[in-house]
Amino acid sequence: MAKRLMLVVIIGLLAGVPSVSLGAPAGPVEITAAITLGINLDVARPVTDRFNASQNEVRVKIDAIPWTSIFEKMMIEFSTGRPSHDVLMHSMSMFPSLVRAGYLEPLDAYFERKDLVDKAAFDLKDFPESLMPRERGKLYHLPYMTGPQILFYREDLLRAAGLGVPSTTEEFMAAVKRLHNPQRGMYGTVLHGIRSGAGGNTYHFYPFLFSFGGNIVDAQGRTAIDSPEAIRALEYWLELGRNAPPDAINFGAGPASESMMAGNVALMVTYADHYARFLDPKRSKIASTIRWAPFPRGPVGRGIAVAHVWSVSISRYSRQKEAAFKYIAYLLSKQAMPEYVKAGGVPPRQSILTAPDAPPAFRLSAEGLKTARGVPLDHQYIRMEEILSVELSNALAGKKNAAQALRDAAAEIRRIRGR
Amino acid sequence: MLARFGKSASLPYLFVAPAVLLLLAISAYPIVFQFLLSFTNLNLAFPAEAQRYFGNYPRLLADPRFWSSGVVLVKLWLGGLALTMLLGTAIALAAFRATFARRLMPVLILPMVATPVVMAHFFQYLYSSDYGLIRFLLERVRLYPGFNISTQAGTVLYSLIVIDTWQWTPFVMLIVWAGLVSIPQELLDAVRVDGASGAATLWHLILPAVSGELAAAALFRTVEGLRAFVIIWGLTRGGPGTASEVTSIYIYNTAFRSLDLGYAAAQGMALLVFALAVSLLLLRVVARTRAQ
Amino acid sequence: MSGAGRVRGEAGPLRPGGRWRLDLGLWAANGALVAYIVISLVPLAWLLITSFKYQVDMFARPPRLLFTPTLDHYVTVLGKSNFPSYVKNSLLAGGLATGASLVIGSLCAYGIARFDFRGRGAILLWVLVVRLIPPLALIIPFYMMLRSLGLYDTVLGLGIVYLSLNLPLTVWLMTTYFAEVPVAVEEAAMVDGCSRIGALWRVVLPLTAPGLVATSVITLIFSWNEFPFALMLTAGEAKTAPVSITEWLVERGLLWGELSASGTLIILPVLIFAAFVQRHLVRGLTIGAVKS
Repeated sequence: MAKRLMLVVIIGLLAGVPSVSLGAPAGPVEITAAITLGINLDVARPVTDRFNASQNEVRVKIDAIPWTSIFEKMMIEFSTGRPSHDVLMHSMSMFPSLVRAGYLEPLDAYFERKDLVDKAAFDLKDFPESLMPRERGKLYHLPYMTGPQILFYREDLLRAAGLGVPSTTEEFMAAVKRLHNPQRGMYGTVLHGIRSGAGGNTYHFYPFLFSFGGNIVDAQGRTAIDSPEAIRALEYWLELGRNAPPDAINFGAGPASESMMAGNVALMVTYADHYARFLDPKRSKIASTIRWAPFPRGPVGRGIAVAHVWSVSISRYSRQKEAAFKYIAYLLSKQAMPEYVKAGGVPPRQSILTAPDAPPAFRLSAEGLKTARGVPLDHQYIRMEEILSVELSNALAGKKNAAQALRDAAAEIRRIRGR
Repeated sequence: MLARFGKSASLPYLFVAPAVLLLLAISAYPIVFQFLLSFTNLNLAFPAEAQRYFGNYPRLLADPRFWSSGVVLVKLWLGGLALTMLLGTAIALAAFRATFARRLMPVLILPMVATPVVMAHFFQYLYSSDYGLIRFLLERVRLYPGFNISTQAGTVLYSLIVIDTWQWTPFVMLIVWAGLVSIPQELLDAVRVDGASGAATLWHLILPAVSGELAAAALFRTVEGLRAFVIIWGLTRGGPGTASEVTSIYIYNTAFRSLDLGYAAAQGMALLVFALAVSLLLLRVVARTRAQ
Repeated sequence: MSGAGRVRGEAGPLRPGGRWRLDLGLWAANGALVAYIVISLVPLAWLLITSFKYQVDMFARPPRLLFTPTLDHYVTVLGKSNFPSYVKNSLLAGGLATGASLVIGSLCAYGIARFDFRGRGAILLWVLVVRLIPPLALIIPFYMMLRSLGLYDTVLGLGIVYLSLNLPLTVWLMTTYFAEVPVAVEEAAMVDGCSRIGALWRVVLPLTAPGLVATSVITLIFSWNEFPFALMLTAGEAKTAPVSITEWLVERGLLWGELSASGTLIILPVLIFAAFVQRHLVRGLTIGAVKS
């Protein structure tokens, strides 16, 4: 402690600035929100501007943070007990760790406060159940942006080959193999092969895992990633990999979609919100021939996508929790939705997703979310995901077969979870 | 070797005090912090339950993934070192003979100063087997192996060594070249009169004359090579599997995926000790070659 | 770099005999050097070219050299992001670190070069250790420091971090420069009535001016290119240019056009700067490596 103090003094002297600034500022309460770059920020920016302009009590400052490092950054901040942000954004993978560590503020009590929010108008039931996991009955987050996986395909290629739109995983595989012709620069499909969670190999594998009847943990919470169904799902996924660009092992969601847009891929499964990029003629060669369909039905009789979502929460350490709540309640209010949709977001509100004039990707997202499944609410989840991502990468690289890769992953995951 | 004067006992300390204090504050603190942390089981997912814990180092010894990350690191470091040293020396010799080396120097050093994080991502594009420039150029000269070397577990390290070599060859070249131009002209003239062959001159005169430079370049490259992180993170994130996972990448995963800060600190200490041992060894080699 | 004044190619060391062999060796050397430079510039040239391509041209097979150029990506990068302010932050943090480390580091280097005192060797060793700490081990302690000083996400805070990263290098480099200045020069000045500080200021420092320039060139480039610390220790206010590259690694994609355009904007200034000051850069790097 003395060392730290000395350090503070030394640096303070060197820097020639007072090391602490005290005193409560007059005027509106200022809060800081950590928002990830990309579509999340594109949407948050105009909605936040409107919020700031609409009242005089709260001023929100946005810190734009790359999605690849927001978890690390938040964890560093929380670990020191001195976070810089009142509101933070997180993906489903990060959520359980944040809750378990006690870094997030439960929201239920705030929703009862009439001075902060009109609960009836906010309508919590409008959010799909699959995006509203509760921890011990408490709500810690509001879903902000969604986009379950759906099937994208090239209508011209399917028609030329006399194929219908695949509605099952079997038909999907048949079409992929039929159209795979690497000598002529055409791959049947493309994977997200890179080691990662959302945007990487685990999240690309999950919908197949789920639709084949497999799961990450079973209903009793035991690790189930090496079940026979899971192994069959991985064998299927690896078979897709053999009909994909060999580079796909290093592809995240971005490069994968780019090979689709470059016209090198016939069919692929990816997040619904990619549709806008596929349709942009400046970026995409296939703007006029791309079509979409629900995720194909697996052996379980349904197609089960990942209920992937980015959410917003209030930091447990925030000194301005009420102001922070006002902000997130506005960000996802029905009132903010026109601005939100105009900015290109896919909101997790059913009333918007299923509106009669909604874009097709919205309706497919709503469909997908009905059956979609989240990742386990285990505080070790992000570690499980890392272990699995390495083994999926090993399997895709041909270093292990499906059974071996999943058994190794399961053994390691059981070791850390104890079950 | 250094000229020194002055007998005052306290004067030298006044000169070095600001830097030493600053270095202590900014670097001793993190090292001590990390050392203490490595004897706890602090996990960011349940920070309240952190305790004193002595199991991190035994765990390190028994962790195959840690050791394999060390092997990957050593392979990358030695591979990059060998190639940059060989190529750098060869280019330096060519520059020594060439007519316009000095004028080309501004462009020669460019890879060395190009922002690494930008190049790491851009090499992904260059390596692409579908639209990458590297495939296209290699096919023209019939050297394309038939696949993207950064995507195969067996070859991914070569793809990283290529980037390393691209980036750091100019550095080795510069240092060796500086050594070459400071070889006394009389020595070279004397050899010419003796009529020694080119290879013999190179082996018996030139290389010994620049051995100090070679050792110093190797030391510098080692210090940087053992810190490798940004390029690998940008290109492969340690994959396929763990084929390109160096120790720093594993530490990153331990700290920010497993959230196991205590264990990550122990790994960091081990890496620091290893890097220090290697560097001190090389430093002695440098000192010895200079003494000769 | 004492080779100045000798005409390159006139008296090369590898020339064993007759005139025709000399020419052959010379042309081989010239050819090898040019070939190497051309190959090493390909990635940078391709980055520049790619930044002017529409996405559809970027993914052409085989890669296209002829295409309809566009400034779209530059418009996006400069319009949608706050690029000028990132450049300003980079320059300020780098300039702050460079200025401070020149003052503090030179004082320390002078003390080390001129005096023999207890702890001298330990300081030099410590300076090396600082260079060896894995960057990942420093991030959390640095965050805590900056946060408790209220300097998180400020240019000043980042400047202090860069100061600590650059100080070791400055001390090593400047020690060798000071050691090159004969003690007699300084003694003469002191006999003429200068105080020690006066002699240092008026006589020694001007003599080491090339060293000061070389050191600041190197620390400026290092600071400009630094990535992991800038990423973790800044948010909106003090974000630097290399960190802004991550704006194009958006959640669901990697925007090659914007990436290469902002990559070009980040790399180009440092390339131009390096090309202009390459003499100092080369001298700094080589003297640091060879004499330290």
